[in-house]
Amino acid sequence: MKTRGFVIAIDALLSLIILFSMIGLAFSAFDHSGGEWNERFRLSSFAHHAGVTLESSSYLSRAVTLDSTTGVQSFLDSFPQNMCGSVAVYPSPDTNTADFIVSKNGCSSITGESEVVSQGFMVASPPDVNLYVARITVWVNQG
Amino acid sequence: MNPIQIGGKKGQLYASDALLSLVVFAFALALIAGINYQLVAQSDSTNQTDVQDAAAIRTITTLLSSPGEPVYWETLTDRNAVKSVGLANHHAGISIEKWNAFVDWNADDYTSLKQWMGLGTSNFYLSMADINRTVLGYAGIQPTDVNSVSVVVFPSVYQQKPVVVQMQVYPT
Repeated sequence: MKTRGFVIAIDALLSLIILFSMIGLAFSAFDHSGGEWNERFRLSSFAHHAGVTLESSSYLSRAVTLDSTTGVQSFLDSFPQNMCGSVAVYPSPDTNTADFIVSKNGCSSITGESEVVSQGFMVASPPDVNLYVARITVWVNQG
Repeated sequence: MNPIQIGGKKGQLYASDALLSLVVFAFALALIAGINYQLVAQSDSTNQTDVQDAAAIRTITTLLSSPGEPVYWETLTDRNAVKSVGLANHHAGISIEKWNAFVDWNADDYTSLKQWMGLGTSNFYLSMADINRTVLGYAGIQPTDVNSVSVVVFPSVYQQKPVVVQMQVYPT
């Protein structure tokens, strides 16, 4: 009695696995092209510039002195439509409890890639000068 | 595939495993060849966009972070003496004098300005607006086709107030 059939050899299976893994890796490498790096760099540079801008324009120190976040809120609302951001200000060195947290209108939670930068700034409170830390978070609005 | 003799006749035996391997090989080859064309076309397009995006990011970063070289370039009458253009003042903001010199240069000779900015054959449009989106100034040529434009927006400071600087780079 003759019976026909296939023998699934381990070496054949292994070669198939290697073949499709290589195809998969090629696609994966293609997906991680320069575009992703550009986006990442753009986000981190934006966060850095936002921190420097808030400090240089005295919006942060004014927010602490006047106990008003209107200026910081306006600044965050001027971000491009697809960009979200929030600013949390802490009295240094205690960075656990924020004095205030402001987020761009329409941006509630962080979605996707985000970047965080810390920006120190001084607030004069004669005869003292107090140090504060602002933590600026920016992310791409995927909503 | 070993040649064997059956009943005095010469022939070739096609083994099932050899046939199967041929089918798998042909399938993989067809798959790779089929997507190769699409990948190459997509890659060319993506690379062009990536290069343009990178140029936009590099240009706006240089403009906002560097005072230019020499640092007093805005005072020079001979623009050939300018090695690089930058707008940053000593307080990490945009210098009024440098911005005005930049806008003047753009009005006088847009082509040489973009060469100095390292943009080569690409065009640019740089605008600065306050946080209420009121445009305070601009330079370059506004693009007409928005589909091929790389846009980068960074915050900065101008006259002690926050501004939003937008750089658009697009092919000629």
